[in-house]
Amino acid sequence: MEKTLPWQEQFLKWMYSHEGATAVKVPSGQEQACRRVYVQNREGHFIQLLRGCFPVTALLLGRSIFCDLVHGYLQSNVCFSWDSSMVWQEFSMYCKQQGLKPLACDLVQFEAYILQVQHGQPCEVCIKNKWPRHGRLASGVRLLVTFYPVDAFRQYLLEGEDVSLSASKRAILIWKSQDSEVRVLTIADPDVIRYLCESREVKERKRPILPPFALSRTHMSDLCGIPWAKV
Amino acid sequence: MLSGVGVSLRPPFEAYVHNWDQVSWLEVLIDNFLMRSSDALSRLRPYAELYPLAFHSVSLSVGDFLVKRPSPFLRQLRRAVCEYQPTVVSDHVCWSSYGGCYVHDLLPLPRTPTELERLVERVDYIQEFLGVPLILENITAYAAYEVDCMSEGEFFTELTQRTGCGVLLDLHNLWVNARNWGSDSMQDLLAMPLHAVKQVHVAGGEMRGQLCVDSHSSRVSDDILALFGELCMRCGPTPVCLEWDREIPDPKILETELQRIANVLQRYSHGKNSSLARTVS
Repeated sequence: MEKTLPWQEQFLKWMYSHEGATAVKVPSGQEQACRRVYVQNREGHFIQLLRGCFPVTALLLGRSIFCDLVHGYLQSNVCFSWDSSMVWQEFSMYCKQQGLKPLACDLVQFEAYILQVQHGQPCEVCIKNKWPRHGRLASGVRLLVTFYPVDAFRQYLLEGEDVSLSASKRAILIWKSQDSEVRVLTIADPDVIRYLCESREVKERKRPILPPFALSRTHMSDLCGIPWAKV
Repeated sequence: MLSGVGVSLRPPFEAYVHNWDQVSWLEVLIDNFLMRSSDALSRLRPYAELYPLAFHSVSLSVGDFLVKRPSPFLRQLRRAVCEYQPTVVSDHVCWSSYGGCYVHDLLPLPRTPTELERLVERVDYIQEFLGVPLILENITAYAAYEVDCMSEGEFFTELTQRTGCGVLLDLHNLWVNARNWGSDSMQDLLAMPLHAVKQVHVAGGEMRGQLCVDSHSSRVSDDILALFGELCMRCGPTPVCLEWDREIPDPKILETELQRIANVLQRYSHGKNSSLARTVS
């Protein structure tokens, strides 16, 4: 890893927590708003990028390789001016270089679907027999790719005691075990993560949130000391 | 040389660049053309045949830790510069990577003599490696450092004097900072090393509560055009680029915006009228 500068770490800590606040100053009375601008700019951008990679994201859900591969890739290879379609092209190439050619080949077929996903508008796709047979996702599963703001997420969680969740730092998978519906949320929204960490409603759920996926130390969240990494 | 009004090329604009009478040059986000795909850089060719190009980047991270070896990105950028000979190569006075990873944002630097020293070294290194002078842009800063002891104007003045780099003056960034931090945008403008300004950015933003945000999502305000007029009156015609990234409007609105900018450029280039400039708060 390249060297870093102390004030860089202070700034990132300020962005994601109150640590380092003594080193950083903001316009009077605007601390939360300023932090939110930075976090939302960045996380919103990651959401876009993840959408670009979403075929692979979905395919690898439930396996630690998802986080390692996608996040490692985004941080190390993706210039932040790229749009999601560019990311997809590059990521496909990257997957092939990583020896994931069979997966990447299957995933090409999903590109058209995934690119239909507009902000806040779910896109439902039916996984056909190209879907890999390992893991929880089997042929015929319906995948709903969407982005939930915290209020909608809360509503869904409160109304859906029968659903199971598995959470990582960046993605939450919700599924109903008895039917063929799988809902995937690309959560990079700190409000949702905070809700999951702190809400009594969540803590008192009959069906707890499952342990996180295995995560890589190379995650940006680790680098930045993001408190909600404790999910 | 760049002159007149340019546009920051975004995918939605690609459909009408062939018949854009009001546009004299294009600014391209060169990062988008430096990809693994072997033909990525060649996608620039059609634009280069139509317009003079300015290369704009978000990935140099000039404020990052000084490493005296070229990153893969810097090598790719040099290749692109050699191939296309752009009129301008620009990036931002900021840091955009951390420990070798992209942070996916443009973050502010401490404005101290120590950091200036490091920045000068790094800019010198990058300019030497690329073989062309950089022009560097002022960013929007929603946060700063307690240790800051230089104004942005002082920081840029020292930087340009010591490295020979130029300034890409983003008037919207300057205006947003003034608004959020409670300073006078005209005074902030005049504190910048105006003689070193090679290019200007204009854009429109949005309010999020009390905070003004540089979102590139709306029309250019009269205040921004007034600042631009003042700059042109003092320094002569300066190439200006419209940035519009989100909520991109109907082409007619874009054309209207380009015409508004062109009108100011024309009016103030002759130094005949500064009434608009005087209206800036």
